[in-house]
Amino acid sequence: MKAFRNREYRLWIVTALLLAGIGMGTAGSALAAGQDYPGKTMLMIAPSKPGSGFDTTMRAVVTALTQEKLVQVPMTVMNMAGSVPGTAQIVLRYSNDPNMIAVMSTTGSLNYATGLSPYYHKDWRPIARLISAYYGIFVRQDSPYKTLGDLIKDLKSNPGGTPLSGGYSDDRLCYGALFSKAGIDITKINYAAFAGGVESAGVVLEGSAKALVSTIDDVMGLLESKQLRLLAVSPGKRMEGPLLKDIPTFREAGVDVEWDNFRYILGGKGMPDHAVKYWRETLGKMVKTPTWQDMIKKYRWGDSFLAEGIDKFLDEKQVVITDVVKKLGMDKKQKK
Amino acid sequence: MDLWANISLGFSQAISLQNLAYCFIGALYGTVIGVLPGIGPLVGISILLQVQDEQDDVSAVVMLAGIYYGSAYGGSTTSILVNTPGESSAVVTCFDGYQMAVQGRAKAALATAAIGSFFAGTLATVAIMLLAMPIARLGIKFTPAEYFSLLLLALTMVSTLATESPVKGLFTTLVGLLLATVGMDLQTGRVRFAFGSHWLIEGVDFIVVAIGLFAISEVLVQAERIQKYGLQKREQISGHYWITMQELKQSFLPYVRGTVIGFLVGVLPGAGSTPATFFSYAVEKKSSKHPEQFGKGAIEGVAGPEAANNAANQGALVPLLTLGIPGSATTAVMLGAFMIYGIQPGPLLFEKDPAFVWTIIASMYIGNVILLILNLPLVNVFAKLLDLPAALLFSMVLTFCTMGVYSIRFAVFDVFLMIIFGIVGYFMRKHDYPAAPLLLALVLGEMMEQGLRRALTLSNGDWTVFVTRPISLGLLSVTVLSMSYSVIKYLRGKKRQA
Repeated sequence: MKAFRNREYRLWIVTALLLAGIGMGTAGSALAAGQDYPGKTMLMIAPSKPGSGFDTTMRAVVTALTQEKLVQVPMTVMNMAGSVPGTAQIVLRYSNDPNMIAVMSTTGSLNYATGLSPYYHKDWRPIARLISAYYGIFVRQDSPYKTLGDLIKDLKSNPGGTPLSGGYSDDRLCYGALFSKAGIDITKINYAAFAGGVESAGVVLEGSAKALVSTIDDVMGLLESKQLRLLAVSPGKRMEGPLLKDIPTFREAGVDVEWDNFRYILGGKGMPDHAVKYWRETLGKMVKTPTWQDMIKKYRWGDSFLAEGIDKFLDEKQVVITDVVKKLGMDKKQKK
Repeated sequence: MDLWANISLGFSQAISLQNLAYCFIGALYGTVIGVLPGIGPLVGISILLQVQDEQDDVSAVVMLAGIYYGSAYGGSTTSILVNTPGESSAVVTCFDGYQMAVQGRAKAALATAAIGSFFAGTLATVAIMLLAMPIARLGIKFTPAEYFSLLLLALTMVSTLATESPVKGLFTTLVGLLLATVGMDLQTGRVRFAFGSHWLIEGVDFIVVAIGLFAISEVLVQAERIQKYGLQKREQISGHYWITMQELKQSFLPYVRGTVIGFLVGVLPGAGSTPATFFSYAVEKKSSKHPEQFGKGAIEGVAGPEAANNAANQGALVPLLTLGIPGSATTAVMLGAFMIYGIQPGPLLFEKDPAFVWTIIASMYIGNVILLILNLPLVNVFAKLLDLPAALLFSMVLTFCTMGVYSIRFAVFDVFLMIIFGIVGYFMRKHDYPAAPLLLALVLGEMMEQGLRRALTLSNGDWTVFVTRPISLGLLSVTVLSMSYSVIKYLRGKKRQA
């Protein structure tokens, strides 16, 4: 009899504990819906390989947020190789997960414009633009081209004999925007596409390609050592630094274009407003911290924080990028 | 002389207790990630980038370098023991390494891999020290036209290796080339043969196919054996032999040739260590007096490629340090790491930051010694794994392969792909279709195609570019010679049989 009572007693305790647990759990999730966000681990998706631009950006964000103690929950960076499968996963798997954020760039708009990806910025929730990288047109030190105009002249008169090299993705967009605006039929230019800007530098150094399109930070080492020479840069105003301050912008060199590769943070389509607000505020604080400022200096990224108004920015960019893609002959309709 | 001043500066920095400790941790960690299938140096280094904020710059880079070359040691271990390549550059080691293990010579295979890695690692470091600049300049001469010719040579060498049936070798080469065309074409941005699946936009992952063809098919073969003969201990391997003097002697020339080939291929940006291992294997088989033993446990088939792998890894640092051009995905991560520490690799690095460069170089010597000391005793530990019952061992292989392949990009798709290639590999084995040409064609196909396209883009569609450039012409001539030699040999063999 005593043994039975004992067991019953124990059962009561367990039941009470269970009840308390359920109560706490419910209260916890109720809190999580509001002021307690993020409340649990954040998943930070970098839809590319380790070491890629997306990956470095996301890891820089995590480092800054952790060191400046701006976010208290653990943050896990997850690499999902490939921007197209990556964005597809973000849309299909994480649209309603408020604890996922990811990084995207011009590449996302490019993939949509070429028809590679069915998804674009309206299929997720853009939070804030963080950084921009600027492009340059480079030639070998001993090249006869002294200005961007010289190069454009040759591209017009002899497009076949003036091959260029550059990255296959965002570099090519800058190339298309610049030279189509200069009045050249860009489908006639020979553009050898490589994995990225720095990988395409070899053929310019060797002499097979006459000029290189690349983000400036990618080939800074070759610029510093005077193996490459910079003809013009892509931002709206002149850049800073001893090697860059005397270089004309595209516009100054006579072509009315400004271009950049922007990277921004996004959430799932179903991310609640309070979470978007949380991240805009947190990232807004982060970009002002010394850790972040120090890091973007080391990576030579341009600070271009933009939170409110990013939707409008992306809308406008999509139009421009779709137009360039058409001129490059890379849009869906021109599929042969 | 300047060199001695520099190298003693490097050693004085690298030998500090702190740097030695970081070098050791890096080497150990590198060995471990090298052993695990699917998790390569790329992932290992980038995970580590997150956690190292407290150390000073030099220690951090010493540790990264340790991981980098440490993983080149570890990759071969599972290739030899259970036919499971730890990374793509360890695929070739499966050919003869696993056969050696089956014959009870696992320890000899593991030992020759470790010693070969040490030999090549050390020699290649000397080469970096003395020749970095001139070699980097030579590397620039390699334009897309030369890449195409070089890769064509590599492909013909390996596909003619299947001496028993050239047509089977040719067939699997073409299957590999076809698989290589899956995915996005960089020149047009168009996607081919993806059949609407976004997972195929990036192409078919080499390591997924390799793990399928080797590890999964081996699991199937073992399962079949257990089915037939019952669940028993793996046939007791006739003693565990340590490497003999004779075997070391046999390994020596392959070490030397592997180191030279590996270093030269590694220096070319974008080539990477995997083609270097295939190249070395082909050269060993061609120059061997007993080519028929290759694929059946020839120690030269382990020694050469392992040396080539390590030398290529070191070689890939040359364009990174001297030009700031990363030669491989892993060196691209290293480039990112350098930038975090405010170091700009490029032609000026040796002048601007000699302490940094020479400390890394000095740490490579130390790291290679540490790795040899670390890996030789591990040979005994790893060889013990073979005493496990086959059912247990190969269940573990299956588990690790699935986890490793899934972790590449969190895609169940890749796991299915691995299983499909496992089944294909099983039937290929049953019917004697060689897997090596398929894998080589897959790894080289994309580079070769892009080389061809880029060369023609740059020459404005002029095909003569392949024969007017001297290096390309030379490589093409060797290709023609090597192919006609194989054909003549084959025809003579036929005549003799008839």
